[in-house]
Parts: sequence; C-alpha cells; structure tokens
Amino acid sequence: MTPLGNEKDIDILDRYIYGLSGQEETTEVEERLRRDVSFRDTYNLLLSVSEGTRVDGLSEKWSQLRSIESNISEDGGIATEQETKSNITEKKKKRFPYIRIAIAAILLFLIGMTAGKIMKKNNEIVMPVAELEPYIRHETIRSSQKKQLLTDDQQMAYNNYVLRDFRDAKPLLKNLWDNDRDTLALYYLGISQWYSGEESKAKEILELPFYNTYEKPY
Amino acid sequence: MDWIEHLRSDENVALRKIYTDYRQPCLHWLRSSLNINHEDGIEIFQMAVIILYDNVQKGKLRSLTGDIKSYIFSIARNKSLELHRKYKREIRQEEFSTPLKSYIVEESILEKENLEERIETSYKALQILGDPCKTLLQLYYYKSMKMEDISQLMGYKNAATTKNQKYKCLRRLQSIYQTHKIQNDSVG
Repeated sequence: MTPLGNEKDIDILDRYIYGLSGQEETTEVEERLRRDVSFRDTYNLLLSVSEGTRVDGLSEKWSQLRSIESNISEDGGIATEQETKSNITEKKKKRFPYIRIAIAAILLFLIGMTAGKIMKKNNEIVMPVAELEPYIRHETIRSSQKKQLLTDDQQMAYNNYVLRDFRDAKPLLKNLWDNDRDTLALYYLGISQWYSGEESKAKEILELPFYNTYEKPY
Repeated sequence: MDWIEHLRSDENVALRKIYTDYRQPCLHWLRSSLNINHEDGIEIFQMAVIILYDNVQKGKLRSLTGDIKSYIFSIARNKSLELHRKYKREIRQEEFSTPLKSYIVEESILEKENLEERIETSYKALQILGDPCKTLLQLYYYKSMKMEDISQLMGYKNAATTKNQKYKCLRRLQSIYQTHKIQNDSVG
C-alpha cells in the first residue's frame, strides 16, 4: 500500500466521489487514476471509508428498529397508533405474572450484588441495573477480538461506567475527552454526572447538538 | 410535518415515530394487498424504513412529492415483489435472510467483485478506528455534513482543525489496514 495522498489530493478526490468536480477536474482526476498508483490507492481508501461509514450507520439504525419491534411484539404485536396508553397498560396487567416475578427476582439479585458499590457513593442516585442499558453505546461483549477495539484507558473508564461506578468513571472519562476528544466518553461523563446528582452539568454536555440522537435520562 | 428535516435533525426520535405510526398500516396493507405474512411483512417494513433513512442521509431524498406513508409503502411494495421473485427462484434462505446486507450490497458504490467481503472489511476497520475518528468520518462521508457544522458538533476549534483531524483519521485508518493486515483490493 502506498502512502496516503496529501490533503489537497483528498479534497480533489472527495469532490470527485461526490460528483462535485467540474468537467476539467474530472478529466484530470480520471487521468491521474489511470497512471498514479498512490492517487488510486487513496481514492480506493476514500471509497472504502464512504461505504464503511454507511454500513456502520445503517447497522446501528437496523438494530434500533429491531429493538423497537421487539418492544412492540412484547406488547402483543398489535400496538398501533390508535392504541391508547391505557390499553397497553391493561394488556400488560393481563400477562402471565410469573414472567414478571422471574424478571424481578433476577433484577433483585443483580441489584443485591451491586448495591454496595452503588450506595456507597455520596449524593449519587441509586439506579436499577437495567436503567443504564439505553445509555451504553459501545460493545460490551468480552472476547479477545473485541478488547482490541478499545484502548486500555477506554476499557477502564467504560467498564467503571457500565458498572455504574460513576465516581471512579468520571475523572477517567473526562481525561479521555480532554486528551483524545473521545465523544463517547464525554457522553458517558454527562450520563454519569446526571446519575451523580449533577444535573445541570450533565445537561450542559447532553444538550450539545452532537448528542441530539443519543438517549437521554430526562 | 417535514419528515426529511426531522430525520436529519433528530433521527432516533423521527425513526421511532415513523416506525410506530406506519408499522401496523403497512403490515395490514402488505397482508391484504400482496398476501405477505406477518414475519416477512415486518422484515419488509423495516427495510423500507432503513431505505428511507439511507436515502435521506445520502442526500438522495431531499423532498417528498407525496406523503411519507406513500413513500414507505412504495418501497415496501418493491421489496415485496423482490421477495416474491426470490421465493420463486427458491433462494430466499441465502439472500433474503439478511435483507440489510442484500440492500447494502445492491446499493454499494464499490466495485462488485468480492463486494461483500470488502464492505465487511471497511466496516471492521472503522470499528477498530473508534471514536472520535469514526464519528467524524461518518458525519463527513455518510451524512455529508460541512466541516463547519462538524466542528461545532464535535467541539473542534474551526473547520481547518477539523479538516486536519479528518486527514489524521484517514492516515490512522490506512495504518489499521496495514497493521491488522486487512487484505482488501479496495484499499490498494
């Protein structure tokens, strides 16, 4: 693989890929693509990035739709816009009660396991285990392959966050934002602040336009 | 409501609203008009919503001539016909079981040779790259946002800084391909 082209070449290729080049520039680009290997490699890399970002975006949305669907299916698969909230609540009440009891037992067990960790924190809101779920956006599967996706600092900070150990997580997340501009870390910092009772600080972060599409606890 | 603007400015909320508002009417219509069963109907409806989203993000859909319901139903109709054709060819299991993958491959801008593999490679490399680079590249290349807007969203000083950061991200991505020995014709 040849070295990446310079910024000027990338600008030219970006314009070419999005059909924004003029006729003269298009001809020049196509000529260079034929004879300049490095230029062609850069072009192929940009095409690949363009496709990769699209796949990444669509995969995320696909999961989101699946999740909405499974919520609807849990409500009997016939939830429609005509269905009022009271109808949904009524249906839930009629469901087989043992499923709820089993879920409650599992949750109680998990809460018991982690309660000490959560409750020792000063002024922190005690939250149910499942409540953080919507605010976890990174892969949490443990495998050697997945671990490579995060740096050691990210792993430590994110793990503390997932464990709702917000007091320890916050400085680590802040460092990730300050040093690496890790936007996910900043989002996690906002959520951690919210659940630590620092609501206004949390909102300052979570209201950034960047997090428009992210789940929020309020 | 301007759904296109809504999908651009608050995509998760918009998608949820579209999904819950049009799911049942679409499933009913697919069943009564095209004899599509519930399970296939859900898959078709989800693909229709994904295609709507993709077209908005790519800038292919900038305004709607009719209402959004007609747009979704028309995609769903096309997807249903594809499904019928695939049933006919008895290859449904291989192709339609992963509708998102099929759509991505069909609509890809990359050359068709070893396409699936190369798409997967691009996706994998981006996951390794991680944030903030992944987000920056996604905003620029998929959502076609301007450097100024990306700077504002991501807290960079100005467009020049963001552009420089983008260049560094591309260099890192290239080195990921090399370090992880991701063999891929599409990246040289």
